[in-house]
Order: sequence, then structure tokens, then C-alpha cells
Amino acid sequence: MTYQDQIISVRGRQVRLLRGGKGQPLLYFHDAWSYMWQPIHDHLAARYDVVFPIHPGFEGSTGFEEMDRMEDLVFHYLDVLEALHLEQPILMGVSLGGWLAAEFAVRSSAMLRALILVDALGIRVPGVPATDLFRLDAAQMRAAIFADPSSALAHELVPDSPPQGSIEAMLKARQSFARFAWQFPDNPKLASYLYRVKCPTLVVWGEADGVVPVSHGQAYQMKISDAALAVVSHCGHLPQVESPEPLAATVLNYLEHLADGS
Amino acid sequence: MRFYCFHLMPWAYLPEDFAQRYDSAWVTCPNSLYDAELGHPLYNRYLDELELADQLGFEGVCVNEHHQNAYGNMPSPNIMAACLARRTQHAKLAILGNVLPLYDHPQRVAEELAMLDVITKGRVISGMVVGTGMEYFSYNINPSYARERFHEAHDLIVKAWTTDGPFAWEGKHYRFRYINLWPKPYQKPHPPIWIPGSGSPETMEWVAQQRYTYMVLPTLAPFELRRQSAAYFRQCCEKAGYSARHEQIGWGIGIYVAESDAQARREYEPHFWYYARNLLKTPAPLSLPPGHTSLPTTISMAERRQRSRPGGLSTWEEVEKGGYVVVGSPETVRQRLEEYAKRVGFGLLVANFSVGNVPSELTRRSMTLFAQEVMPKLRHVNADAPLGDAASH
Repeated sequence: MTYQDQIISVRGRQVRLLRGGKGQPLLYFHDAWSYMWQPIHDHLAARYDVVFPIHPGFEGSTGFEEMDRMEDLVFHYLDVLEALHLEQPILMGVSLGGWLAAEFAVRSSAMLRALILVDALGIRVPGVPATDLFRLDAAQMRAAIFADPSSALAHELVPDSPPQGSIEAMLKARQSFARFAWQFPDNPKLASYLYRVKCPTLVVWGEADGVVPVSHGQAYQMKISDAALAVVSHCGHLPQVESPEPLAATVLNYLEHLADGS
Repeated sequence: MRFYCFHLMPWAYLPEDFAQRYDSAWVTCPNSLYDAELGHPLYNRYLDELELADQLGFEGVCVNEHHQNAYGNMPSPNIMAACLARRTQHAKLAILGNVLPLYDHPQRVAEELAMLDVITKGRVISGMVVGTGMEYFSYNINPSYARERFHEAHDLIVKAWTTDGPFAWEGKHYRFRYINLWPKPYQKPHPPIWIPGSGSPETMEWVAQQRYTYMVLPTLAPFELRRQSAAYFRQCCEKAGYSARHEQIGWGIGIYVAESDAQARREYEPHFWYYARNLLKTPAPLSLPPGHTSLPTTISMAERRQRSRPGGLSTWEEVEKGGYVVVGSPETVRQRLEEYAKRVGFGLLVANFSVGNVPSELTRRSMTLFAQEVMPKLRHVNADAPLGDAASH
């Protein structure tokens, strides 16, 4: 599948935008490890216009200095949506991107066709704290993120020592991630506002997520009025990396039934 | 050259198999290993050693701030300075330093240092640091703001010391309607500021611009890397339009003196390894949290760390050859320090005599030998001309 890789300017910020496919817009918010076009995007782009912006501070996008809270990112993406004239997009986010998607949705779910949260950080579940990712070394990080930490993919995304060409991109990703997710990757008040999400919502979770366990997915599902939960087996924190086919099938199936039903 | 006696106040009673059983002496090192019955004499012994430094004629004594660790038991360096304030007569109290980004009220640092400065009639030296990466875990301070908070807190403190209040402070990280220091510091315009560092170029550039003293930290690193840091600082001063005075460069170093080289090594080496293998034990993610240093520095530090970390050291020969510490008879120590001083150009020697778990009587004897037999022979080295000339133009 071909996709465009371009830079757009939004309110003076440089936004790197990956985009491929045709159809209804599907806005994709990435996590802190896989900020590149992957097979999952090909699957989604077979049916949708996948719009995949790179967050401020990650390789290719600027404006990190102005980002202090998740809310700043929400405003940033309200601007991006406006600049792209995206109407009623499906919003999908993974991990950090899932948290961001939830923060976006509690403020403006009326403009979304649907919300898809995949192993989303962002809420505090009593007794089940998220893992403190920043104290982990590479091997511990792979064990937390992946159901199969020994896979080539796991080593590619979380290498013991980054290859020369990607050191800077990885450090920038880590730093931008830390800005929002340092020690407690959540907003303690987010859960109490999830009732504001009024669009159809699919929560997808890796069964073996070692960062935010499935109980976080269950909490999201319970707090959002129109939400379904799907668990992906033999899969960790990043289903789009570890199980792209099952994830794509689950998401596409959900969206298709949504289309039928409305 | 001028002489300061530095102390880490390390926990001296880690179990023999600590390094095998635990992955860190910091943050997560279980405090069930701490014993206040042992801590009481240990604190007082360490304070006695700094009081001895005053009696032996060191120009100053140095304390510092670390949290939740076995490496250095001074979570509040200002409390240690307060303990010393009325028990020392002449020594300057160098607090190296307060970890500014950890505090939501930097004026508290300004107040405490002003109190100490007034009580001691101006014997306070204020060190200000970004702190180790580990402190950001212990205090839950977002390390991606470390530099911003450091600079803003520094600006606030200096303004609080030098500007009559009340005034309002409206920054990004700190907002106060009323800054109005009671007391104000004794020294005018304010206590001297030293910035201890471990080689971040951005720190050195800033210190040079501010004309503060840069102190190359004694944290274990080979001589050559630390010499390069000092050389870079000197370049930064030239770039800022002046030449660094010797006394603008501090050199932290572990020192141990005994009657002979062989005796010095025999007495010191086991305690050195206690320090290197146990107290410095830190998983890399704890010491390099994201954003704590700039990207280029983070990249170069990760490399440096791999090359220089004492975890990689296994023999005393490596330690000696790398110039990690200076250990020997008075004459050997004098020679080495003189050579280092000439190669580096430092005018402030910040000596740490209490590495690891060196017993008190050995520490006191080493300090005494140093003060009596080494210090007098090094005073003339890298002595600056009086400031009057430089200040007159």
C-alpha cells in the first residue's frame, strides 16, 4: 500500500503526516514506540482514509516546547483536524495515543464517528497501577510491552542499543513520552469524565499487556456508555505491532457493523 | 591552590553480598537496610570529620544533597550545614548543592541559605545543581523540565537575594505574588555560587556566562574525561569574553594519604571497592531519565558512561592508571595533585577523604597527613593574582 509522508504547517507547528487509503477518515494517534507506517495501517487503509499525524516532539513534528499537558495535545489536534477539514472521523489511538484519544473524546465526542481505544494509558485503576516504564532497561521494557519479548519485532522497537540512525528519534520519543507519562501515565480525573464520550466506542486490549493490564480496558468499557471490549489473545501492550491482523479484523468488523446499524 | 574538604556521608554498613542481591543503591534500595542505631554514631562521626577539617585549616567544608539512597545520606544539605555552622570557626560552608528543580518553592532555598549566611557572618557558598537522574524518580519531578526548572529557580533565588521586596515572580514553573526575603544574605551581592557538574556542555556554557565557579564533580570518572570537561569550561569562558581564573575551576577528587604508598593502598582499596561496587550501583534508566540532559549530551553521556563507569573496573591498576582517585604517601599524593593541577589549571581542590566505608581513624589520619604534609607544598600552585587588578577594569 502506498501512503504519503508529508509535512503540513498548523499554527506555526510542523506536523509530519502519514496518510493512505480512501474512504471515511480514520485519525490514528500513535504510541511512544511505533511512530511509523506499519501493516496495521495497510489493513485499515484498505477501507478508510488513514490520517496518521506524528505528535509534537516525535521525529518530524515540532511544537513540543508548548506541550505541557494532555490538554495541549488535544488543542493541537483540534487545530490539525480543522486544518485538514476532517469531518466525523473515526478516532483510533494506541497506548499514549489511546489516552490522547480518550482526552479528545471527553471534550468533543460529537465530532467523532467512533472511538477506538487500544491498550490506552490514561486512567487510574485502584490497585492496578500502570508499570513505571521509565525505570525499565531494554530487556525489562520488552518484557512489559510484548507477549513475546524475544521476537525480532520486539528487538527492533526496543533495541538493547539503538542503531546509529535512530538514536535521536528514539530519545526524542522517550522524552516526549515522559512529558505526559512520567511515573503516572494517567490523568486521575479522566475516568470521571468518560461519561462525556457519547460516540460508539470499541476498546481493544492485548491479553498480556504488562503496562496497563486488561482491567484498565474493562474500566474504560464500564465508564463509557456505548462501549464494547475485545481482548486480543497472545498479545501485549501494542496489538498493532504484535497482532496486526486480529486487531485489524476486530476493528474493521466493529466499524462495518456500526455502518450497517446506522 | 585552595583546599576544601568534601563529604558524601555514605551508608557504611551495606551487607557483604549487596551487589549480588540488589540492583540499585538508589531509589529502590530497601531502607530495611538502614539502621538508625548505626546511623546516629555515623552521622556524628562524619560531622566530626568536617569539624576536624576546619581545625586543620581547610578553607571550606562541603555537603551535598541526595535522596533515598545509600550513597550519600544528606537529603537536606542545609540541615548538615546548620549543624556545622556553629561548630566550625573559619571554614566556609559549601553546600554543593541544593537540587533546585526538586522544589516547588525555590524561595525556601533562598531563605535557608540566607539564614546560614547571616548566622555564619558570610561563610556560605551556594552550590546549585540539576541533581542526579535518580532524584527525579524519588521526588516525582518530570525530568523533561529539569533544565527549565533549574534555570528559573536559579533566577528566582538570585533575584530574591539581590532585589528588595516585595516583588512578584511570574514564570512558567513558579508564580508567587510576594517574594520578600527575611533574612537577606550577609554577603553582598549574594553568597558565591558554585555549580558542580559532571560534564554537560550546556551546564558549562551557562556557568561560564554567569562567571560562576564550575566544579568538576568527584563522582568516579577517569582523569582524562574530567580534564576534558575543565578544558571545555575554560573554552566557554574565553567564548564569553574572559579567561577563567584558577579558582573558578574546582576539582573534586577522592584522596587518601598514609605513611607509604603500599600502606595507603592496603588501607584504602577495600573501601574503594565498597564505594565503586555498592554505592555507585545504579541501573542506567534511573541515572539517565528522559530530558534530564539535552539530546546530544544524553547520547554522549551514554557512551561516556559505558566507557567510564566503575562497574567496569576490576583491578586497582585500572583505578590508578585512570586517575580515578589519588592514593599514596604524602609525597606521591603531592606529586600527582601537582601534575593534575598543572595539566588542568584548577585552583580549588575539593577533596573527598571518606570514600565508601573507610573507618574514622583512618579518615582522620589521612586528612591530617594531607593538611600537614601536602597542603603547604601545594598552596603556591595555580594561585591567582588578587582580584583587585582584574576587577579594576
